[in-house]
Amino acid sequence: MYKYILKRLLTLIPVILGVILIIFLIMDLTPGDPARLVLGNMASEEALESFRQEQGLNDPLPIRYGRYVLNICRGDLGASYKTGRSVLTELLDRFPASMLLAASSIMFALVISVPLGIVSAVKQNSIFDNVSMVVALLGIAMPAFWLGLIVIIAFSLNLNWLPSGGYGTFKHLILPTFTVGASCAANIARITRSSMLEIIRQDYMRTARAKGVSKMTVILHHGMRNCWIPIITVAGLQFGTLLGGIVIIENVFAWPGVGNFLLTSITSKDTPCVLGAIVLFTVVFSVVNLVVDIIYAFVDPRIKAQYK
Amino acid sequence: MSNGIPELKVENLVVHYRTEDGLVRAVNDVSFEVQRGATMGLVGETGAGKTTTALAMMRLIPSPPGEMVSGRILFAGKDIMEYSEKEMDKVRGDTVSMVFQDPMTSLNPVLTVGEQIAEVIMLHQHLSREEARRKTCEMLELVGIPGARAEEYPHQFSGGMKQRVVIAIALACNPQILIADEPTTALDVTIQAQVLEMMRGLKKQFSTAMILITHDLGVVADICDMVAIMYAGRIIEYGTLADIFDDFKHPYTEGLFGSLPNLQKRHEKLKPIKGLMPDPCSLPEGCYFHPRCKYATDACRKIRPERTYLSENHYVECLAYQEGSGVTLGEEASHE
Amino acid sequence: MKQSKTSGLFSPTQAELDILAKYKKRSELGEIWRRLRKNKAAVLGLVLLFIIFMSALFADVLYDYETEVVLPNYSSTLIAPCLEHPLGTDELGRDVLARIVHGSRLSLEIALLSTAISLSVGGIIGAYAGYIGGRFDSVMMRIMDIFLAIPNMLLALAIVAALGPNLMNLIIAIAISDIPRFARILRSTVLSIKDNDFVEAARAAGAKRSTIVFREVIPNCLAPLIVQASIVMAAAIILAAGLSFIGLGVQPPAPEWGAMLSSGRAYIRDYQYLVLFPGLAIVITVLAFNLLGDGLRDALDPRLKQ
Repeated sequence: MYKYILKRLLTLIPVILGVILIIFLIMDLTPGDPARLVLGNMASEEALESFRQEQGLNDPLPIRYGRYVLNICRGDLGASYKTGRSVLTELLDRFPASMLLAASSIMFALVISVPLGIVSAVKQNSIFDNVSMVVALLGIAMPAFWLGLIVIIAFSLNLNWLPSGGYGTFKHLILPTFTVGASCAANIARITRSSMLEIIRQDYMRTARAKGVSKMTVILHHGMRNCWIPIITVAGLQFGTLLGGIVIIENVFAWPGVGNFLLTSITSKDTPCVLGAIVLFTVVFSVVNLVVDIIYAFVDPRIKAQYK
Repeated sequence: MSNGIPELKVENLVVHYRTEDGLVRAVNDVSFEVQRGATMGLVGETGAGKTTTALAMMRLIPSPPGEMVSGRILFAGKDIMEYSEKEMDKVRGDTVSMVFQDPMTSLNPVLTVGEQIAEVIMLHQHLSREEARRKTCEMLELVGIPGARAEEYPHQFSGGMKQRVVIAIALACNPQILIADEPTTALDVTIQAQVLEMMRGLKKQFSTAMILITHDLGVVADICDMVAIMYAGRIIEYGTLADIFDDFKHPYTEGLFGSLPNLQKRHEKLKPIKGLMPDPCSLPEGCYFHPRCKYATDACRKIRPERTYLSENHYVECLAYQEGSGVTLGEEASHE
Repeated sequence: MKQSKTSGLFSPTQAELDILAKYKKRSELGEIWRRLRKNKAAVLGLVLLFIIFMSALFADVLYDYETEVVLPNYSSTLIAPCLEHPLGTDELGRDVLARIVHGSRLSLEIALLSTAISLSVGGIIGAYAGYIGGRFDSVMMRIMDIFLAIPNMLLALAIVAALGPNLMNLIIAIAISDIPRFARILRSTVLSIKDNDFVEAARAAGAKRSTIVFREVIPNCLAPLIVQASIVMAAAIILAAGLSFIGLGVQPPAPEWGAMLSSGRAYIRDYQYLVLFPGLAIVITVLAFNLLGDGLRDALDPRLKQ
């Protein structure tokens, strides 16, 4: 088992290197001269040139990429063009807020959607099933940022129950969590339902019933053990969408996270910050995928057996 | 053979499935009984309603679309149709248990075989975890699997081994009635013989009443005492092993034997039954078998044959044996 | 959706194959259409899509782009929904309904173009990777894996941030982020066909394997491709609206729905209809694509639906 985890950790390295390369290449297309951006329009040509020399901006791309990767290994993501502060510090300041939102959203999504999906499957074609699947369809079709605006209108402006933005208390967490988690929950509810519908028809479920196991226990014990794999798969994939969604939702709710920082950095063309923030999000996503793979092995003995 | 109340008695069982394509008449008025320690073979082609009959005895017909329209099922004289779902859960796996057709899919892939056997033991015998574990190992040994393999998962077992596990689950609580639905169909021929031999031994040991569903007449000859021939949801002939094998009456039974290869007379051609089983959505008028029966007459097309007893234990549903029907099996009808 | 192949016992001529394929395809399409029509949700999706496409097609007939959609009209700012302006007017006095109708053009254009690009590029990459196999295949697939490791939104964000926010860059960004999905589908289809008995049989009869593989690819991967395409189109609309919402997509005064939400946001306290209606337009369009996609999946693979 440890060997498997180690193996998966090792495969993570080329993926992250590749991800950094792609983002690095894309950001390299940015027009404009970083030197002028940092030093301003009034700077002399000599000052600009010496800045470029100092930052190694004139070096060919492979060298710049290599240096960037080496610096990352040393915990150095460069300095912001705008403030001159270390990008890593800027990111770490905001990272907990983003992770809090991401974690609470995915938890919220799972807690809501899995029971919903199971009940819908067990009571297929009932009113409950139909209503929750229509709601799920709407949840998937709704852009998160719009849902965010709508809940602000409803719960902050009209009902005045919850703050429309900001950070700090549990109350501040509720609306952003709901907004980010909603489409995630909708997707997971749908996959839970369809997986459970398939599982219910499996022979081993009938075998369990023939043993005298009650309908409820068959679903919750025999069914759920098999249902976790598709649920975890979709939850893992949804986590990527969720991270993307967070970028916008942090903006909607004035949430002081990495996403908000990313947007301001893009507006101010602060390339090291943009690069750093996207790399950070992607590394988080890759680690989540790794965790999903490891959970597979715990849930399904057949997958575990392959890595003994 | 009879010693009072039969272990299992089915009376006038009718099961329908309501599907988009119409009403599927899967089981139409089936009755039979099995004594303690006896084995009844339920024989028929695919789609004859054998498995539905078996599931009805477990009250596990998927509903919807399935529906038990009428009939009584009595375990030792008690009608289980009147049981609540909760009472039924107590009966299943304890009084009656079932071995399913395909061992490959009958076991839960994410639970160890030990857990799956222990579950039924703990459920019905209220043993502690430790005692259940010991009993589980005993059951595994009983079906010829080392007890240490209880920790393993189904995917680590071969098909024959899996079927042994399924049988261990079915027998774990010494059921009075065992329903085996084609327990050997999915297995290799050599493994088939082993599994059958094992089931025969276990049946003797626990004197369980058994229903063996199969379309393999060789298997029937091997272990059954009574035989019921099923066609289009009806039992069209019923009798002792000797009645059915040496003195069969129904043209369909005749056809079944005719379609078997005869090793003694190799020069004889196989005589398969012409045609297909009727669509259970639109069963024919009269005798269900008449479209394929080579003796069929006009009467067969109109009159549904009644159960005609030839002896105490041997009955047949064919107009030729029904008094006053005027039908005989004298010659093959001329039309083809 | 696997069709049974002609047995390998005889080798059919090319003409016979063509006839067979045509016959099979026609009756199959009919069957799919029949199943789709029975699905109420899918029909609703089709009807909605038809309305949206029609409004995009006749947008210019309904409302003049310059005078009603783009140019400010200060005499009629921020009018609540009324008879003359069913969905009200915005802060620059433009009719919200007119802007939403014209916005459908942008959304459909983005969805269709980006999907067409990612489908063809991803399709070609996947088909060749599957067909050539070996090193090329593994390298291509590793690259696709790396792209899949970056969340769609962030990849598109990076591309738009680098290239600059406008319609074309937005389409390119969305297209690139969807390429791996299509590459994977094509690759697995080609791989499954390559090992098919039917292909071996035809090859034994002297036909070129590459022609057979590619002749078989399209009909066999059509089902998953269509389903994937409708899902991707729905996602593209949300993604485009999101990027425009944060100012990194289509720029004002173009009536993009996300951009409309972005400017309406400033008036959220007093003129809530400004954030309500453009969002509803997105929801309805995305819902329509999703309903159709679900319906197609069920119609193409009846096994999945009981």
